[in-house]
Amino acid sequence: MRIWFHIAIILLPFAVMAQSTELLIARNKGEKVLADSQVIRTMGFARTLTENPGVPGPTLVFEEGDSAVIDLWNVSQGAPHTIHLHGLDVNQENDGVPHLSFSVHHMDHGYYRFKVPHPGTYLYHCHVVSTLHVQGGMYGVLIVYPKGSRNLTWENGYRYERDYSILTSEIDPIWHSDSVMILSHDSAHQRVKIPKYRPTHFLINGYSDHQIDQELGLYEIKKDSNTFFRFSNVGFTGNTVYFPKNMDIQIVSSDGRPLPVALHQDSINIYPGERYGVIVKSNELSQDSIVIHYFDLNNLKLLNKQRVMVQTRAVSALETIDNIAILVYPNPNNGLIRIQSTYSGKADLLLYTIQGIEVDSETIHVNGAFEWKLQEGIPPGTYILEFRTSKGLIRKTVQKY
Amino acid sequence: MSSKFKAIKKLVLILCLAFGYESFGFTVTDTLYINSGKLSLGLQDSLQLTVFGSSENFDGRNTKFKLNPNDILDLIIINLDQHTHKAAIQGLNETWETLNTGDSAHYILTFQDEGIFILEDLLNDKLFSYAGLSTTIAVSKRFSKDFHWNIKDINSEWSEEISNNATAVAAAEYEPDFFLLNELRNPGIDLDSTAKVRGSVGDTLHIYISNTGNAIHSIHLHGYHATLIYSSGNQVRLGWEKDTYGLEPGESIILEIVPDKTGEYPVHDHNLVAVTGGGYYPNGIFTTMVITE
Repeated sequence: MRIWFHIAIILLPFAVMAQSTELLIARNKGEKVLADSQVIRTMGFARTLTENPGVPGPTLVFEEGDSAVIDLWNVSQGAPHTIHLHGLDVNQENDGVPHLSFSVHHMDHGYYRFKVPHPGTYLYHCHVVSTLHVQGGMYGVLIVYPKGSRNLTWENGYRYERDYSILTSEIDPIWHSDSVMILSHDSAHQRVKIPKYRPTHFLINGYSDHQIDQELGLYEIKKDSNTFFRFSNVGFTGNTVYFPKNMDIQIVSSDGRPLPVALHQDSINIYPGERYGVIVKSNELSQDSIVIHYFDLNNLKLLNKQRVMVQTRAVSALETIDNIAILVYPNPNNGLIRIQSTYSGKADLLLYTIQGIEVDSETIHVNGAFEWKLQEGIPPGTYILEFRTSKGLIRKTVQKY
Repeated sequence: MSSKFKAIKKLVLILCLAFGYESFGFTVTDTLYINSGKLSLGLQDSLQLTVFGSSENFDGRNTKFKLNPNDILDLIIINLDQHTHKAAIQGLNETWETLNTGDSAHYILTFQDEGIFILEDLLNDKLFSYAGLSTTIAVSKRFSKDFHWNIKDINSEWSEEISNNATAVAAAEYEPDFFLLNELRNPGIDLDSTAKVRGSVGDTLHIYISNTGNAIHSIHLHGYHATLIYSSGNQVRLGWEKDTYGLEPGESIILEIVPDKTGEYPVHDHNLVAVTGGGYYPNGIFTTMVITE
């Protein structure tokens, strides 16, 4: 009895200390469909063996004060991999730089243990031949929320209705060819031949062009409330982010630290590796977009523009459901919309103009793929399709021609 | 050097001894030689560069200066290059001379405020900046461990053409293939004691960084956040605490780091193409900070 008492006393501090563990599986043979339907080979991180490693990898979420553990399992049949916790200022052992820390070889596990003292937006990425492995897709966002709150930038900071993460990067398909990616890069900081960088696809959260509306949908801002945008650039170009003109913009943090004084400006440059936290507020119902310019760091040449749609709504009735996916196609369409969903049950379909005016609706029982024929007389244009279920709603931007 | 100037120097020195150097500063005397040649980077790579060297013989390195506020820099610049140059520090009220081959100029420069000043060739839209001809003068009032980084990006073909023939370039097409810190690259940077950050836990370390290249660089620190205490560019960032700082061409910053733990932590360009050199990883802007107990 006494010995159990002593063991309990010893273990008590560990029991009360919040520990958060994440599993990341490193893979070398992912596939990514680009906006022009080109399929490229990727490296990346996944949470399960059956899923395709995404670009970017899963967003990791921790809480301030957590004792975090990332279990990196390398199932790549190729190069070793690591996790660099970009901006978290962890100790050398857990820093993820192969020749200074450790690297994880095929079928090995590596454990990164660290404290997360500052709420904010961070990155994680592989640091083995980082130029290639980051371009390959081995990166993601890591968010640290304040203790006990998912609606606060930091203790005594800005309260917000919801937050969004916008991660920019690029793809040069040549770098994703087998001849470049199949190299069994070692972890000793050895020389590796790197091709010229000629990005052709410019990504927001892994998508570009029409994929952005299709896959990311509309970024909703509740009128008169703060929305927190977390911008990160893990690419090799510079970004200028242009915010909607009719909204109140405050740049409040960078690289996981509050700025001494918030900045009010309608654009910001974000260079590779930087992160910025931006509070967006709108006092009128509107639809606009956040436009991101990608420019060449060598000569400032504008390489591309991408944008995400932002809509201010009066009421944010329901949260978007993360575990239900819908696919809306074709997009653009002629008024006959096909919808595929992992949800089954009763659902309301609503179609809004970008000003938020409802133009069509229907209630259906969903079980797999189905078609929705829009009413006659709906003019061509951009609309918001709302898929409303008992579990929440998903919105997609659709084009009618 | 004129006898009048010698007398002034003597007077300043006497006043400094009497009232402390912070009031009057010291005089630093030096000669810079503009010369061109092949810089060997190791690993069978070399670059044709033009630099402000410390001797008549080309060694491929730009001479850097560190002064205190109110110091006087008694500087002679001799042009040993085949091309005409006009070495100047923008923002400093001085009449800068155009130097033909063999010409020299003598400047008495006073730096009153803290900052980092870039000495460069102003002719032909700073054409020779593409060939490496620019160096830094750091003026600091701080008594701390300091480290000095002159960051450059070089297109090897352009640099050779400019150094040899002063051929004009199409800046809009610029694409460097070498990325240097104090005219060195990884792993050679680690041998430069002026660049290699070494300190102890609790030290106040200052890194003086200038981007004298033509590309934007995004410098990322592992292990620690750094506070921006000086910027020649956007003043709004002063006091920010970050792990990644973008530097535009011509921009200089001073970062302050107080390490809270021991270890060896990388500092590198997070435009990860700039971690390469001559098409090879990791022979670009990559070094480490070594922090001990």
